Amino acid sequence: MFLLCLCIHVAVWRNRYPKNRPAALLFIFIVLPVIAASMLAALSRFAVFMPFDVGTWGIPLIEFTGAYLLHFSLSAAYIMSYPAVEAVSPSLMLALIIGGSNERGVSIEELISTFDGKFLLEPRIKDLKDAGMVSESKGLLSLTRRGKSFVTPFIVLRRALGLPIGGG
Amino acid sequence: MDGLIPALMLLSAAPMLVFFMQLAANGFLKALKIKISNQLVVILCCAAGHAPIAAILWTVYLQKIASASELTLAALYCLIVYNALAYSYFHLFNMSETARRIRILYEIYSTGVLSASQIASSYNPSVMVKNRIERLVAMRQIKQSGNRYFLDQRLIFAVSSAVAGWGALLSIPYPAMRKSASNGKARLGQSLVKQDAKQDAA
Repeated sequence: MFLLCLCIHVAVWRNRYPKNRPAALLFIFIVLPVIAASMLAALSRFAVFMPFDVGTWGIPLIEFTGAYLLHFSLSAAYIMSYPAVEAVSPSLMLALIIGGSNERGVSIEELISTFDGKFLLEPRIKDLKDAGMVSESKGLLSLTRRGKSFVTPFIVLRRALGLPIGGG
Repeated sequence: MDGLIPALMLLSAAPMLVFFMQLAANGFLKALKIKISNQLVVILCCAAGHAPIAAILWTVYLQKIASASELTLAALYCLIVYNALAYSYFHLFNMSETARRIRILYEIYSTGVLSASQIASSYNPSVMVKNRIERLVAMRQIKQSGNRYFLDQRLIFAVSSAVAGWGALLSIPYPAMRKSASNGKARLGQSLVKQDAKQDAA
């Protein structure tokens, strides 16, 4: 199930790069399997009315829950890792640059010169606007309801752990 | 299937287990005034969580499985689900620690409205690079020798290479940032070649 969703994700991304990627990922990995399983269960229930043999596609609820938990855990791990692929995580980029320098090493000045503040922030602000989390009016950015509900759990998590807001 | 429902419920709660272990670890480390990278604390908590969850799963479900092959498969299932959910929690925490999008959202949340230039002024690339260098050193992924940085353990480098390859497979239209970074890498390569030439000349 997870591999099938991964194939659908690759096919969709290669053919039409979605504007709201978080929603597209949630739909492909979380919602689509539930719709598919519900359709199979319904098909199996009404099998007697079908003019052809549909087999025994329906599975007991507890087994489906177990299978879905496995799929959900793998999907959650993938969805949580995905931003690093899309947003070119600076930490991963630093590791690539330092790793690529082999035995010569890299100085901090050389690393800082690689990262331009404009390129670090502008694509992320555009992503937030595309995802409907931030709106812009007269050059000023404000949070939408979706943006507020997205950032609140992170603030709650940091406060619960007694940690300051991350340095970014 | 005796005990399967409690076992599934317990596995679903794996991120909560790691959260409470991290909470306890933070209190313990604060009391002892020990400074460790926050990410390393979560990784250690995820690893340590294997023991209590395995013990409870054994008690409520696994010990009731008679066949050895079924037991192996059930244990493998539990291992995959626990690790995938613990890994997801690690990433959730990591986003709160390092993600630029969360930081931008938080900046706007705390002030109400902000312009892009105001956000940029509070986000210094040099501080950002230094923060990340510190974290990578603390996680022993890179090491400092003199004024230069080198790879230490290769885990994050291997992950970075895999991530770059996966991004290429997805045909992600990378923004100027990646171009900038790769140009930077090229510039870095050129400056290293020039340094070598200078050393040769000397």
